[in-house]
Amino acid sequence: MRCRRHGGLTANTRVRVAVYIAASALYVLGILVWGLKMPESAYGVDYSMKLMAPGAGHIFGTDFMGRDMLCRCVKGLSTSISIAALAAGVSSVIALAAGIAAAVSGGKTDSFINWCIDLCMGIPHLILLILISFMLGRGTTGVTVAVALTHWPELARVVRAEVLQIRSAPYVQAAYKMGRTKGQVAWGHMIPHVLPVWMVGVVLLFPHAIMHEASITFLGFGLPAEEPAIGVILSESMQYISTGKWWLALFPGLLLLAAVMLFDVIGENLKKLMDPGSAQE
Amino acid sequence: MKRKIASILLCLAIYGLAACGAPAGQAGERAEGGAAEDSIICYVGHTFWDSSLDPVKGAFSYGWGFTNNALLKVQPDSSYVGDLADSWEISEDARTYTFKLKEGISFHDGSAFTAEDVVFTYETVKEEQGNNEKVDLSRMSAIEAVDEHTVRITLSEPYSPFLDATAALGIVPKSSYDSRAFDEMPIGTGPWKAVQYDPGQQLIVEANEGYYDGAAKIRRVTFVNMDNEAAFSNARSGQMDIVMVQPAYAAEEIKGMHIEKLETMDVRNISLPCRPEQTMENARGEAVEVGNSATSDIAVREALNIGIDREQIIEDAFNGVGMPAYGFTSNLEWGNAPVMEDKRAEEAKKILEEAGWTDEDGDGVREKSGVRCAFEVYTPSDEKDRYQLAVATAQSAKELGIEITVKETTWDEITKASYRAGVVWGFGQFDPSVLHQLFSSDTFLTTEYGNTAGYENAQVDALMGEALLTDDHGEAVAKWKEAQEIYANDIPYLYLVNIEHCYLIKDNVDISVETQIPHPHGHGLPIICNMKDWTIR
Amino acid sequence: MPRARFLGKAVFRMLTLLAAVSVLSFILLTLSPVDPMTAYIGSDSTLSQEAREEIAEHWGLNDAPVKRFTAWAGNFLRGDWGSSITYKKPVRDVILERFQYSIALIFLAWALSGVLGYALGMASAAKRGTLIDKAVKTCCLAMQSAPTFWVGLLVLSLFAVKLGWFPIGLAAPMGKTAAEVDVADRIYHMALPALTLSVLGTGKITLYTRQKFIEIQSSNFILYARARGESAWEILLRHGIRNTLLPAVTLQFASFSELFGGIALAETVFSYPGLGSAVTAAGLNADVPLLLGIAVCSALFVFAGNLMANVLYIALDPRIGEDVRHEM
Repeated sequence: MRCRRHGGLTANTRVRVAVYIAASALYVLGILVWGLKMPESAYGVDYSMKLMAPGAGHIFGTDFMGRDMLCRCVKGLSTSISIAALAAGVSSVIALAAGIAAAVSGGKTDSFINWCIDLCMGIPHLILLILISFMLGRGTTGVTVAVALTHWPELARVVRAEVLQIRSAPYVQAAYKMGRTKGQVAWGHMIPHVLPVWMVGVVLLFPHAIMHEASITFLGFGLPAEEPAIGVILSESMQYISTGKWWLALFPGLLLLAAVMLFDVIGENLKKLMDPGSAQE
Repeated sequence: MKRKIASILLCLAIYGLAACGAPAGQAGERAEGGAAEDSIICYVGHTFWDSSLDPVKGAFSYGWGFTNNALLKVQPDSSYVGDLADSWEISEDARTYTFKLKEGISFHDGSAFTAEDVVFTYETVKEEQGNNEKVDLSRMSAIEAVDEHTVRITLSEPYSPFLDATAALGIVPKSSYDSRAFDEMPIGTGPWKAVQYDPGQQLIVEANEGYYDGAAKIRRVTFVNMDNEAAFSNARSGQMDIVMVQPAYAAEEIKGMHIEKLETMDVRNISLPCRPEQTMENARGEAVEVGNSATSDIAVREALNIGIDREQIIEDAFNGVGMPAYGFTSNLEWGNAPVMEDKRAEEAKKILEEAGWTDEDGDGVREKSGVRCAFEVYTPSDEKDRYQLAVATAQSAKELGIEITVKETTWDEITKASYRAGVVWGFGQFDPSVLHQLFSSDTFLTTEYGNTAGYENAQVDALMGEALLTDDHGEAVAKWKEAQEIYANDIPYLYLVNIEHCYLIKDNVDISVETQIPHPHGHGLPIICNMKDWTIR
Repeated sequence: MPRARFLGKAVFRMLTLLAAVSVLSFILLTLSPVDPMTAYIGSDSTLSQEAREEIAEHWGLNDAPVKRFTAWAGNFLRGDWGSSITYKKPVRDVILERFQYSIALIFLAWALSGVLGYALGMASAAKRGTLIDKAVKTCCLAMQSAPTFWVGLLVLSLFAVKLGWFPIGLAAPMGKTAAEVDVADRIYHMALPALTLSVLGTGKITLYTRQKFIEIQSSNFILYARARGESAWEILLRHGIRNTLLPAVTLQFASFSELFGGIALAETVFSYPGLGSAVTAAGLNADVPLLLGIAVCSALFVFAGNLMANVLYIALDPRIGEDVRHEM
């Protein structure tokens, strides 16, 4: 179906898509940099400002220790994005290697890699994250490694499928006939071919990684209470929801949702730019 | 095609059912919701569902009867009286305990309670010690039924806190004991009979009409399992009679209910490593980092002890619920806290200056020959209130120029760090052997959680050793008290707060506050200690 | 015949994967530095050293890993899944008990998201480009990205806390004995967690169905049908459903993995006594036997979902008897 609609996007659409990407990237990067640069005092404890509703001075309100919620959320989100970046880095390399190895080698290697993919996807992702985090004694290391090591299978499948498409292409066959080794072919032909799809896949890894980090932190397997993190913030907010402190849950979630959706927007629009065929809408 | 349409219809039917089911159920529940005349609905934490209800496996080891009774029970002044035992004697060598049992008591199933049941219970626990982490019978060498109403227990070594164990172990009937069934529906001699147990959801008990000490006045009590937050919301909608609440809710007002703050023996303290930084070997031969450059200076410990503002800390961390603590509480028979005042910041600063701790670089934290007056305090991730307490304490210490960095992590990480950093501990139990665990030089590096401060004082060691071995209860108490007086000068632990347990209580329910015993560690369950005396007005 | 062979192969593959899952989980759990003992006895314990050792002995904490695994695997196959340290009960009892609650929840959420998602998707595609379509699309994009636990918190605070329409916590009314609880009670108590759990799936299925139907609408045979004068409704019934239902159902079965992760979050938020809250408790209490049991069961559950997806695939569409995806 990828090739059904030839002709590409009009210049107008192209500009629009590029604007979407740029705006989303700006937001996400903005949060990341703001968070990384933020001094600890910005979300420091101030008991005289306990549980203030959103208003001037604290537009997201304050929590039960008088910490500014906007700063905590931004800092937390930037931590999430950093962890997700690491996860995307590690997982995408594994995915690329596994996907290409499977498709290029075929036979036993292919079956084995497929089997491994099925294995990883056979355990519900969240359970797998809990197991790995548990293995590493929970905490920051646990969640980071767990998120980094578990996001490759789907992308590996995509890469493998992509490589399979060109495996029998004449120019690839010609390369083999010219005496190139499998490694050389993979490097010279396969990687350049899968790169666009792979890059989109990497961007689309972010939302999953961010969400998973927040989820297992929420359940208590991830970042500790002294780290500002959306998962921590939301799990703390549970105690205050029944007393009507709605802002403790609403804003952090919205901020997280926005980041996740924008990563999706970037990914999907990149896809359109690189592969106009899939641009049905 | 037909198949597909059929499957769609099926799915639609399910959805429809779900949609219609809701209002129907709602109407049904509202009609039956709320307490009936002589029954109440309570939320007292998760204890009932988190572990077995079988006394043999450590259930209800609090020193008061629920479904089962122990040989002894705790009084509101924390002394012991006979429960199933009528009287008891301890031999001169402090190794033989003889209990005379009450007569004419029967179990819920109608069988008579005799010495055989006691022997059976103790022997089963001893054999299956691995299944009971609450009652430690490893020092019991023999137990025998002298006659139908007399039991004799022999210890392998004198150990005065053994008496506490006899108040903690509920007796099960030999004839009908079933390890599996008792997990959910234990049979005992107690004032309450279990009638329904839904795993993870609810436990319903009914009054034992034939209870030897007079039947309970409330007929039926339902304990429900949910989160603290959910319980609070249910209380607000008027569906519950007793709800344990966190201090964060203490200021909330709910129509028809009031907050009751109940006294506990539960204290929170922070261990302050007393030794200089070094590497030592623990009992297993592993290298352990020990000691802390800041807290090993008595001046720093002293300054913290007198300089921080405990009331403010309690206000900030616990919404003002709790009382400043300087040692183990006086509602314990053996508790002995120094009488003192805190919030003496100026005096504390002077002590620090004189000891050479000054803030030379102006960053708000003192230094002494290059060492910053700073240390870490660890709190367990499963107890959020300790984290809040540590943060509030850190805020208070900041004013003295002492920097406390609070870290929240798992108990495993805490165990590792506990010898070189502070830890927020919680202790509240009848058994004075906790003092030995915390302050004896024997437990340092040999027992997990034991004396992590690395405190060593020969006088304290000697007094506690004598207290453990004596056959005279009064003498043991006196020795324990003396030991506390001595270590109080060395401040190996910074006592902060004697917490109070908060409960929301329906205005028409009387929980007989005067017969409540001081609550031991573990917010929630202890309120039921005198449930037999509760009344509905 | 190829179908039988395909099924046989799938089942065999499932078994090897299950075995691998149990080995993998076991390795992960035994490598953990988390000491079950510290979690078990608590920090305020004054147990003697002897008593501590007996506890370690009792729970088999001292044996070598390989020995523990073979013992565990052997017992597991014989139906003895070990004892849960958290609940002090046989793991199998804990799992069976809680699975009943979870499966009801999962099924309700699954059906809800399937039906709602499919209907919304078709409607949205049929009204392509209108305001409704745009609203549905945006909503679903958000739904598919929204963190389950956050949705749960919002649903809880709105419908249960603020409006008081639904109960909070538990799977049955308080104070009722098991015999008195009826289906309506159960569903009433399941409604909010199920709604929360279905949000993600609804978003996914809607967007997927919408996309599929749009593709089909622009395909040649639909153009032909239009040219023949078939009404929009006829097109939807004759071609739309026929060509979109199957992929949607397959996708729905393949979502079992996400659903299982979802119950851990939804049940924690709503304090619903299913497997999801048990897995959290087991992980936090270092309850290795229970974690292992749940990990294996969850894998079995996911494989079953995938198997059903494949079976449906063959059963509903005879054309693909031969070249079924071998993805399990």
